[in-house]
Amino acid sequence: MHLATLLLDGANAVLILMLVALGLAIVFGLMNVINLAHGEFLMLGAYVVLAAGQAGLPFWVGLALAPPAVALVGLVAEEVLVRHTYTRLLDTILATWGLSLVLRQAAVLLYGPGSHSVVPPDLGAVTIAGSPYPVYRLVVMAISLTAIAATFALFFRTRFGLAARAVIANRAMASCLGIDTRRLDRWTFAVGAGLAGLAGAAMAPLIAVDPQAGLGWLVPAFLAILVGGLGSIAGPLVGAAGIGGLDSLTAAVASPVWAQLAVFVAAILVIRLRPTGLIARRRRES
Amino acid sequence: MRSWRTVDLVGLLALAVLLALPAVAPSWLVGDLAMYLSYALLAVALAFAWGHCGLLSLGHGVFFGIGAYAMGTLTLGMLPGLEAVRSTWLGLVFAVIASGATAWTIGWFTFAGRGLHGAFFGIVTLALAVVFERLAINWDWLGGLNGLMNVPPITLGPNGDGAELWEPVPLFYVMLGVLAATVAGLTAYQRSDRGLALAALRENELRARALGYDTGALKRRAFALSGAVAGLAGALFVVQFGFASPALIGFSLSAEALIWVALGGRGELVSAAVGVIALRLLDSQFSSSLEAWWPLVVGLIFMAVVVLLPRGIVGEAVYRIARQRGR
Amino acid sequence: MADGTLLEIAGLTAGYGGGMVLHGLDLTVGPGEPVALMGRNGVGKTTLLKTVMGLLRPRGGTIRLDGARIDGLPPFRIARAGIAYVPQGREVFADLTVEENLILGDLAAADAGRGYELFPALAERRREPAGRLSGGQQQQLAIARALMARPRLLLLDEPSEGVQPSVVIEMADALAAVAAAEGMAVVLVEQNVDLALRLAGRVVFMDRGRVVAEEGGDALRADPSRLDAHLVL
Ligand SMILES: Nc1ncnc2c1ncn2[C@@H]1O[C@H](COP(=O)(O)OP(=O)(O)OP(=O)(O)O)[C@@H](O)[C@H]1O
Ligand SMILES: [Mg+2]
Repeated sequence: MHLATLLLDGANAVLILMLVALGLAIVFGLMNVINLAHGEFLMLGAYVVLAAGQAGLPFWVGLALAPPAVALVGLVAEEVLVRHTYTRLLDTILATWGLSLVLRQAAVLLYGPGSHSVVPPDLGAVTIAGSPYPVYRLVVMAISLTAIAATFALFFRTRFGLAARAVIANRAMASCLGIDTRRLDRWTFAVGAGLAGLAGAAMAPLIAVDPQAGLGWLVPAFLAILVGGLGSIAGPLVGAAGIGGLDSLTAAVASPVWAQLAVFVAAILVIRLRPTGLIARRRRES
Repeated sequence: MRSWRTVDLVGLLALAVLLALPAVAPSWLVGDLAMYLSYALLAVALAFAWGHCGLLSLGHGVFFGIGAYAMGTLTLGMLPGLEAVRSTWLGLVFAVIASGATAWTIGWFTFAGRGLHGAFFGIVTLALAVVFERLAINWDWLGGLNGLMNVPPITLGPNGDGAELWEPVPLFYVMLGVLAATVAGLTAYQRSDRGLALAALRENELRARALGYDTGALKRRAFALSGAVAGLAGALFVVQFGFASPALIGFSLSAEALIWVALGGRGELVSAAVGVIALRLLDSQFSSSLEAWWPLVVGLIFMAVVVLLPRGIVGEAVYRIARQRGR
Repeated sequence: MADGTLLEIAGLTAGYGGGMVLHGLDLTVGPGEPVALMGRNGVGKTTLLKTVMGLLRPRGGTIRLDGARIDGLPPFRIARAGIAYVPQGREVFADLTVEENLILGDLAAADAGRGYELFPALAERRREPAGRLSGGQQQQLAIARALMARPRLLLLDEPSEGVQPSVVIEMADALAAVAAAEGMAVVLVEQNVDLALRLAGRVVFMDRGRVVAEEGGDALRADPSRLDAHLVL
């Protein structure tokens, strides 16, 4: 494979992984919920695109529908399931794990256990450094970058984001200032789910759309968070760059199996050496 | 005479029922139950790690699978340089050591220093399951996607010779004996000083450390013990099933084990064991009639139990009875 | 004294887990009335403020604001009903800037100008993380944050703790000015007698989870020795 293609594909994988990890990290940071159904939200995003295509809608409509549709699923899940386990961190894992099983099985019931393919929109190819590269993949990168930037803007440039950061820092005090933390939780969970849905929808034409599609993203995204550290919003992004980069490079020079092994070994080495992650949490003045 | 704990009485009752079962049950059911007992052993291993020590493992299937592959490769004479060794007994030893050592190594990576938060430990074990499943699928020596076929049954001789154990009823009693002994042994361990230290650590790791316990070492040992028991379960499964496949080592069995333990009850080994047997029986009833709806139903029940009955179904029942009796 | 009641607490019982700290406490505060709450360490002053704010669920009794029950409501509803809280230990958001802290006091505010008017020193450090301010400035920030939303009742828990005396006087005067101008009632928990008497028209004494005595501010200012009678064991 041509070097430029390889690097571009790697960048593509890293950006999507950043998007997935960001959604996970936001939900964990604000709500202290470890969402094991995050991968299934991604899978749902891909299925929305598939369903839209089967209904005769253009690809782009499916892409635009996926984030709100998955966010809605997230809202319902938060209300019905997740909020009942807030005070028990390990139980949030179990509850969302159960949710992931149910969502996967729902996909099996609706679309069968096999995989489907989504035809990518025909945008042609451009020549980059002497080799042709599909324009759609560049579009996916642009979507990821935009979504990451928009998420940052949401959390650092809006009053919603300010309230969210206050809740992350001190939930009780934020509540005493009149911030409805329940509502914030609900919307944060929806935003996290929507981000995953967007990632899945954008990736739908590039992957096999099947009920297991989410799992392959969930694990690297979590490893990215563990490696990067949860102290800051930059941690998951750095972790995603490391994990995604190592994965794509090893997959290109060796094989996907070696890549997965390399990522796992590298991740637990980092965890052993720096249990708080590469970007450790700043010491707070008490 | 001392008064018995409710959970011990429930365990003895379950044991009595199971002991009597082959007298009334058809032999195919006894054969199935013998297999379920190896799953129960896996559930007991997980309940020990998770319920007693607070080490939530989302990848306990890995240790079960390692046990199964270890037993299979050894008794099939696949180990390089050891082709002549075919002993079931050595296979058991190999399975227990290989799975225990893997668990210990995971613990070494994750419990160092202040250690990973319990929830993140769960994530690491989930990643472990995904990676090991992928490895097993792609490792031709282990049979790849097809797995190891024709794994011999238990042979009573020293080196794969002598009488073979495959009749359902004797197999069932052997499995029941192993399970009962394991539950009794682990229960005694949980109630020993070191077991109580583990429980204290689960409740408040910082305090346990302040009291002078080396919590990292305690957790490593406990997790290795749990991994070894899961490996034993896998070895005893594969000699009955005759077939070790990547499905045993990865995500799906790990997920199932977690469901069994959560539904049965993580707090007591007996609850977990009873839960898995009940659930497997239901599974064999409904998975064919409800088809793809059955996993959906199980998933919904699982979510409901997590939210409403954190002690599990059997665990909650035992708890209520115990409260009534005041013991 | 102002007519009518703003806050009316009757038979309030509350505590942590099993143990109760407040045992049937009664207290009324009029609109715009500054009240100081005094008592030895551990009698339940902080617990009372937390319970009024909704951080602790009352076990029994009622809390009314302008006649409407607020006990059992979540803190954000109580805040929106017009009660602001400056906790013991200030609890500013250390990683957020001074300006962000102020805006959090009233997310609907156009800017943080009201806070800077109150304590102009804060304006100079608007872009700095609140954690870098001195103790006194953090206290000013916490008070300004609480006042952003123009509360009808301000709950203040030991604002003089760890603050220089000169800054304490400044804070007291700024608070008194706002309270007088806007008709804001204050419940001030304070060990510092000077501060308490500077601000409060009435001093309420607590012991073992109950209100046990009450004195007019003027009487105490005239004869400070009366204080000791209530505070010594
Ligand atoms: N979070 C808590 N959990 C359990 N008990 C608590 C908690 N906070 C306070 N207490 C107990 O409640 C009682 C009253 O505490 P509170 O903080 O209300 O007293 P206080 O009057 O504010 O004292 P101080 O002057 O020291 O601030 C004390 O005995 C204290 O030990
Ligand atoms: Mg106090």
